[in-house]
Amino acid sequence: MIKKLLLGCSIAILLLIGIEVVSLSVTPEYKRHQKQYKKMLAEMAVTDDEKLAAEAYEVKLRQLVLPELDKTDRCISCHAAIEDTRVTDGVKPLISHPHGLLAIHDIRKIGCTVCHDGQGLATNKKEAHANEIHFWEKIRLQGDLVQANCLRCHHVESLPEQKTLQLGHKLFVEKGCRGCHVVGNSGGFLGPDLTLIGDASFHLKAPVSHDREETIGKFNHNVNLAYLFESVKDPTANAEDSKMVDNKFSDEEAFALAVYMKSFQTRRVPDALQDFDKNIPVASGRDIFMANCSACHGSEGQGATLVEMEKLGPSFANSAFQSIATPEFVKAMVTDSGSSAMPAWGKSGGLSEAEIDKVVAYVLSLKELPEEKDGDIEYVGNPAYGKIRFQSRCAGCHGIDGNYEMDLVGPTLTSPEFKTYATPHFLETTIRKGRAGTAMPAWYFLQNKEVKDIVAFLSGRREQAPELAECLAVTSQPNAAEHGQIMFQKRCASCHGFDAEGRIGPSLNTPELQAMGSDDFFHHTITHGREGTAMGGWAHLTAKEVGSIMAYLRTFDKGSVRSAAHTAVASESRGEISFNSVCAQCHGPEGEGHIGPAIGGREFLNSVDDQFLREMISHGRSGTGMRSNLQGTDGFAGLSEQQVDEVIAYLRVLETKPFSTIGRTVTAGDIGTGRDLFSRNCAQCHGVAGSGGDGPGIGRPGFLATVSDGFLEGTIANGRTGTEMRAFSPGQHALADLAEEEVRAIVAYLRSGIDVDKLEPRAVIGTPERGALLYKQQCSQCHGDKNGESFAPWLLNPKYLAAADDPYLQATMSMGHGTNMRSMIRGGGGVVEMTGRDINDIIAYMRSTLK
Amino acid sequence: MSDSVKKPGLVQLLENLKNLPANAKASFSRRGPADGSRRTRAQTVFNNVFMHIHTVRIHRWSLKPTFTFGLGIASAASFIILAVTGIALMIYYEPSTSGAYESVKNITFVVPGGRLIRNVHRWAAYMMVVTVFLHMVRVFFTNSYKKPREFNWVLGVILFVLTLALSFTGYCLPWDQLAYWAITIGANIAGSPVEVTDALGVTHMMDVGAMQKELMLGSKFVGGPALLRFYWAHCILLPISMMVLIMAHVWRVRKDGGLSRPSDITDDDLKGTPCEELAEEAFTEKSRKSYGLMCVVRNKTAAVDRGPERTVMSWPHLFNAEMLIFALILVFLLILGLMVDAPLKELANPSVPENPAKAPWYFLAMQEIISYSAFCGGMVMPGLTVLFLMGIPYLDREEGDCGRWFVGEGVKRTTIKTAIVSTIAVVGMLVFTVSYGWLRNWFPDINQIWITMVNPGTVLMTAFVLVTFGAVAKTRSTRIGVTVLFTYFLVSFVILTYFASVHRGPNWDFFWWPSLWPTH
Repeated sequence: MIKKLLLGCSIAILLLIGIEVVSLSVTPEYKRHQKQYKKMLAEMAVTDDEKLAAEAYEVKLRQLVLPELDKTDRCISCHAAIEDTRVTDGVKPLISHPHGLLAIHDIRKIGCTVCHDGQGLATNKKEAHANEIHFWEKIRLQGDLVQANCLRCHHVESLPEQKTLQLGHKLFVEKGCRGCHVVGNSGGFLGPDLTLIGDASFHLKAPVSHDREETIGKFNHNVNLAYLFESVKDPTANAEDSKMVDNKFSDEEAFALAVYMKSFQTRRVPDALQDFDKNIPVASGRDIFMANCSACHGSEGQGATLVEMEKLGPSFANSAFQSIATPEFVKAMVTDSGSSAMPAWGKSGGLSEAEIDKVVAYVLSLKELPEEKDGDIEYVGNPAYGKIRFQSRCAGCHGIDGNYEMDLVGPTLTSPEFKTYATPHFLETTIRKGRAGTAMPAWYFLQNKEVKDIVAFLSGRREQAPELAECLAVTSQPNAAEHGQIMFQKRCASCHGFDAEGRIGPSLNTPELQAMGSDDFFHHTITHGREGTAMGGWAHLTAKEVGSIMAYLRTFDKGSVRSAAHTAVASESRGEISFNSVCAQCHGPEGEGHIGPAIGGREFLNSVDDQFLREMISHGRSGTGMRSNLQGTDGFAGLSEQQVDEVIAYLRVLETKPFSTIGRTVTAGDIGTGRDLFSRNCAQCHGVAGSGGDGPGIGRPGFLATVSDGFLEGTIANGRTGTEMRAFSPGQHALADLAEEEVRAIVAYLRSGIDVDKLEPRAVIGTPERGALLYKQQCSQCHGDKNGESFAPWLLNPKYLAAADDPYLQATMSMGHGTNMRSMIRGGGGVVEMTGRDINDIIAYMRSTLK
Repeated sequence: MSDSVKKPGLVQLLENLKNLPANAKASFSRRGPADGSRRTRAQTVFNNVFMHIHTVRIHRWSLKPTFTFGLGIASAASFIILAVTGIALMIYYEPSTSGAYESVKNITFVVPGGRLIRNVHRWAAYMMVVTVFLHMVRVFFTNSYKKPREFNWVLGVILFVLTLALSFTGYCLPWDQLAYWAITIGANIAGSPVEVTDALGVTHMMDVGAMQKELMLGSKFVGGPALLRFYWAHCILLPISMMVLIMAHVWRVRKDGGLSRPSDITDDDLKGTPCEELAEEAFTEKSRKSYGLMCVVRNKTAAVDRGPERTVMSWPHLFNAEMLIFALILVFLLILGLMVDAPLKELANPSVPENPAKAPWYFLAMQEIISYSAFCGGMVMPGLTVLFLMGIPYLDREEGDCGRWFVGEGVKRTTIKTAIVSTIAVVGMLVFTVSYGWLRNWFPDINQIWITMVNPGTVLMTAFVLVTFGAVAKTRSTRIGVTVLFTYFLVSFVILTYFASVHRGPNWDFFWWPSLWPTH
């Protein structure tokens, strides 16, 4: 019995081993395929060589050993005809590679699985394709799915024909997926890291919906792709609490995205085999914006409502934001916003500083400039229209009609002194460029017409200045001179001295001037001023005032005229040499003024004839620094008459050349003294180094760039009626009695910019307690409170408060953002109407939360 | 050949060639041409180093299939198959993290017969664990560990532990996900004393767990050094230890008088065992030696005082039976190997934990109690269990009959009773734990030391140790006592293994069936 069993077992063992031997040598699939291929070779053979080759074709295990990839692919054991371009319509696996791709891909070097995945080591279909077994991570890809692996060696930009990949890439960038997802080095933190999602284990990432089998089937049993497809198509399928935006992708789009995202894999291919260095365009600011920011801020920066996250993505592409946001503010927010929703792109977000700069530049370039119609350039502003425009655009901060009130955000614009100094150029520049460091936005988006109307409204009655004839009629009236003296002392003495002996402004009582200055000269100078100097245009004075001042001025002794009246005909180029060596020391190389007054301006030169000039140059002006310059007069330079004429000729050339003193250092003064004086007299209101406080930020480069030294000098000397700014020259209402050199020293100090680093963010003054209440009423519903966020950006976020200065907050509240953030100021047309004080209190409260 | 006449060279050569097989056989067996007599057969046996492990004659009881079920031989057969296939696999296997997985794939796909050899190796390993375990059960319930076989029982327990160790180390070599996470679990168990040292606050002085872990892994993390160590243990240390101990084990069987057998064997008992005409007779042929080896064997032996009655020649009866078992196992493993592939998962990936990361099935009982406490379930309780198993012959020194299943008064009843009670207890405890959780669920901030000391495993074990004391006190029988404890071990091992295999799913949560696991 035992023996029989033993015999049976022995036979069984032999039999089983026999089965193994047979199955090894006869049955492998690849042998069958290769035998078939051998037959095909023989059938196809035409030449003798081919016949011999078919004869010699050996049925054996075939493999591609790929040392560079550390791989061995045995696919060609079954796919024996893959390189044989003659076999175009065979039955798989005996068919050549479609689309002639092997002509550009060296299969001997890169093998098969680098593109197709699958288990290259396996020698049978089931395990090689690995679609139905569950122990191979990378199952075979075919058809469009293969495109996922193109990115192992190629850059997406260099594969325009891979439509699926291109669509996926486009969607991934345009939907701003990196806003929430890290890929590689950069991306947000709200969503899962996708860096290696293409490698994700099917144990961890698999579709779970009821039709998962169907989805997996659609992807040829590739769980990884099916998972990506499902997650993109229905973000809540896998994670019920997903906050991902449902982009409502079509099947085709989701498919393309899945294929593209599958390419986020571990790097498998060494540099030598890669094709990366070609055709990689440098990412532009827009590219970076699209990839990282567009999901929340909209593809055009228009902002987005993120329903799933219960958040509003703020908009940039609105004129209100663009008009007040500084690059520093945007950069600070992009770098590290401190928000729980927005990545700190400059830190964990992984963008380099250069990339952030590009994004910032792009964000701030989302300005829509107004459409200008033909003829708008020559348009002359209409003050009446300007008034209406002012009321809709400006009145919120500057008050109705620009009148002064206590709780305005912006300064008053109607004081006579302001009107005197604010030239149209000044007004236009300020409106267009805004005033950096203050709440004054850059109204770049207004049409030329609008600006001109507003400027016309603000510069007011300049064109309505009294005519010369009207004034002369007054001059001849009795008591005109006495009346004029009072007027002069009130209006003009702060610069020209109590008895017109000259201070900041030139002396007017000299016989030379009296002799040479025509009525027209005086009239024009008073009513139009000297642009770029402290002499503003007093156009708002009445004919009586102007006339009586002129009468007063005519009470001084008139000197005799010593110079000829002819028109100077001489070489202007030689005149230039003389001018530069003699005159420029006091009047500046362009005649813009220095120690001496500005004589290069068109207004001045226009209003005087050559005789006037010849007289002044030759004989000087007694009682001033202007000495005689004619040979033999014991004067300053000793010019010949010819040379004087040359200088005049040169001045006439200067007259044709426009020049501007705006933003230029003209005045000579002692900076150190100026600094002391400033801190003693001005800093109280204007802040440290003119940072701004109760008074405007006059130390800020943005302000200084729009004004001339004369503007500053004149304002210091005269103050500004109706504001806290008092006159600082001797006079009834003067706060201090600054000498001429002292005023110049202050101006020189401001111009020097030596304390520009000491400028502080302009801080408003408000009552935090009151602000807290207002904040709770007006802001907290959308912006959340101290403890947490709501759907709109969290304003009490310390990083936000650090980046946004008070003027920015003032401006934002005043103007709104043209989005859900409406204007909050009285008359701003928003839902809430607050005063400037309310706004300042809220800001004070916001600042107080940091303490 | 001294008397042979010198023949012409070519004729001589021809004759030598003709006689070559017989001569070779004779020289191999150290005797002349076989004449088929019992004497020559006996001589063959004791003149051959391999055959002389056996006695020349063997008692018919030892050949009774329902007594041994051939489990010892089956274990040895599995070991031999494992050794042969293992050596074959070593030719292609590469013990490095970069090459291991690929070399196993190559063995599977391109090495001729590689897939079959690997499959047989894997299934033989499982087979050996089963047969060794059942062999132990057989020896216990036939009371065969009694004097003088106590130490051989100890050797057997050590061999059981070695079998598990070999199986575990081999499990890790393919460096797939199963391997990686098995090593990880093992390493965490080795590191588990940290539970205690942490609780005592002495970890910073002496981190026993970390030291053990590092000894095991050759590094702080699972990686190349760990793989090399496992390879070295699997191919050198453990097989050599195993072989030495198997030799000792078998030698002791022989020295301790062969297999145990009862004192009251009846003819009925021996029905179906091979029988020889002379088996019942006295030994008639005079020994050529003045004394047999039996004379120097101390204590009772099968042949002392009784004559060789009821013995049969080892050759052919025992040898055929042994060969049959070997052949049956080989056939079974070959069929299995041809039909079912040994598992090989995806390449080890430290970033993707298997969930659940299950140990090989024979460790699942242990993993279940490890899920309560790594230190207690992974070190203390298995340690105590092995100590208890080894200690059985010294705890129970009652002299009683042996060689029959459940021999001894009340043993069978006790076994059945204990089996029922412990089934209820273990199942009940599992139901309770699954339904209501344990200390951690009730007191989330509790110190880990409490869970290490008081968990379902320790509670059950303590209860059964107490029950055992009770039984010993009540029956005044240590045999009953160890039967209770051993049965408990057996039942809980089987139930826990089943429970952890079938009802534990991802996160080690309870599931009625693996098909109910959430799709991963």
